[in-house]
Amino acid sequence: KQFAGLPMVEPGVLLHITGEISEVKAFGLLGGSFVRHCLSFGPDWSVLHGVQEGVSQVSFPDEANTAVFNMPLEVIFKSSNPHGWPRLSVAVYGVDFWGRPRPIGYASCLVPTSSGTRDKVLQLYRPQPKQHSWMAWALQTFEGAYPEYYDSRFVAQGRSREVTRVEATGSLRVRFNTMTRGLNGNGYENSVLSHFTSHLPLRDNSKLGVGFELESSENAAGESKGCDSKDVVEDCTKTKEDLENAETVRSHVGRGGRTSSSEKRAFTTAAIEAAAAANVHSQAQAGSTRRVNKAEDQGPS
Amino acid sequence: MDVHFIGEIKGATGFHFPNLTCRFKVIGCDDTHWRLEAGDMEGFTQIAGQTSLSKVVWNHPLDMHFFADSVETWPSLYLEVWGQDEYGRNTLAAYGQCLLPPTPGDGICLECATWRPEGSLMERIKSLFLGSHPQLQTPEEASLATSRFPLRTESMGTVSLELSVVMSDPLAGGVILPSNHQDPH
Repeated sequence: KQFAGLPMVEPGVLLHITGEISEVKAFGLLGGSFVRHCLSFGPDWSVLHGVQEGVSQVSFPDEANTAVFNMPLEVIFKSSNPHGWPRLSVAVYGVDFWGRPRPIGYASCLVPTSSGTRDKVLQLYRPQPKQHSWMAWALQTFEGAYPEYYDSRFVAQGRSREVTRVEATGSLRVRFNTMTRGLNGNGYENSVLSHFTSHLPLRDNSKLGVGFELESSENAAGESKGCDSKDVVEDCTKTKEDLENAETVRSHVGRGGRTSSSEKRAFTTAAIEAAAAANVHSQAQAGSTRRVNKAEDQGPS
Repeated sequence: MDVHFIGEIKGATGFHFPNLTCRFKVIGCDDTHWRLEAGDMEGFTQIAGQTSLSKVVWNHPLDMHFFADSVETWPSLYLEVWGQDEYGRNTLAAYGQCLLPPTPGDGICLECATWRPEGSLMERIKSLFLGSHPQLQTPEEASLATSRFPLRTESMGTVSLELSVVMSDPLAGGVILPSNHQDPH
């Protein structure tokens, strides 16, 4: 069935992140500093919209050693698996007394796993050369060769960190506004309140118009699982046609996904249920997709 | 059901040691019912050198994906904090363990209190000169043991963690969480 003129809904789990890197508070920002950020994620994740890296403007601090950046973030991710949930890594660079560039600090944090707004304060740290080493002091003072990470995404990984020694330098504040879509519809529970979003009544599926084909109800009969699916379906759907459609969708939601033929969950029809259950989310996503496109047209500043 | 523990070991407070590092390991879950699907179950954080700010920052990411068949045992995170003095000697700073959160949620902050064995008088004098504080032979079993009675310990600092837990299919396994509990009406 083709439903013309209506937006295609991406299957799977979507994570929409907006936010900003607000400010940095540290010593050593006096000569001007900037922030580089990037998002790293696992193999099951991909970027749907937005830019995953960025460099901020050069900012000078106030009397309280706080430099304000207000660096916006806007990315939409697509995934099939919470493993590898995106992490933001930041690298703050400044200048030393003689005007040579020097890392102020690095940090990483996990993008929140549930919808909402969260402020996070990251403690910055930078690699420290071996203590009491005159060679390291000489290199730093005369050559300005400060130790830094080759890849600022290094702080978002756990491996190979045991050979690094760091010193804490300051803090960075970042604000995340996250919206998830399809997480609860695919059977994932990420908060105590997810009960309310994953069991919302199904809307009239035939009019959803999302461009996906519903399978016939004969397949559905033998596969519905979970005591809750039938109860909810009977409560919420009125006509027989709606009941058949609802059962079809329910049976393919990612509950007990391991008994289906492939190991992947049936996201196609699960997305329909997710879209029905979270109409507001998809509309908000469509609205912000337009904003992302606008930002991309302007290009990186 | 799938259980994801995603978060980080943020850092520690209350330790009066230079150059702390933390070794963590996930223990306590039954091997026959819990299987690690992706991620690392154990690892080492970076070494946090102490400066005048005195903040121990590890910022070590955790991302573990388990398949679980039963909730009879639930994983705990076992921590070992080690310090390195100015001569490069590694000394045990503390042991600790905390249960990984059994309910789904985002940004759950855990404060894990730590301890270390006291040792006899001779052992403490030795550790003053040789820099090797007494350690337990089987610390992981001791952490989860139901009785540690004759062991004398002293309290050390606190390790802070922030975790998010995402689960799937708990009902398929017959597990009722606060989030998927069905109201009778």
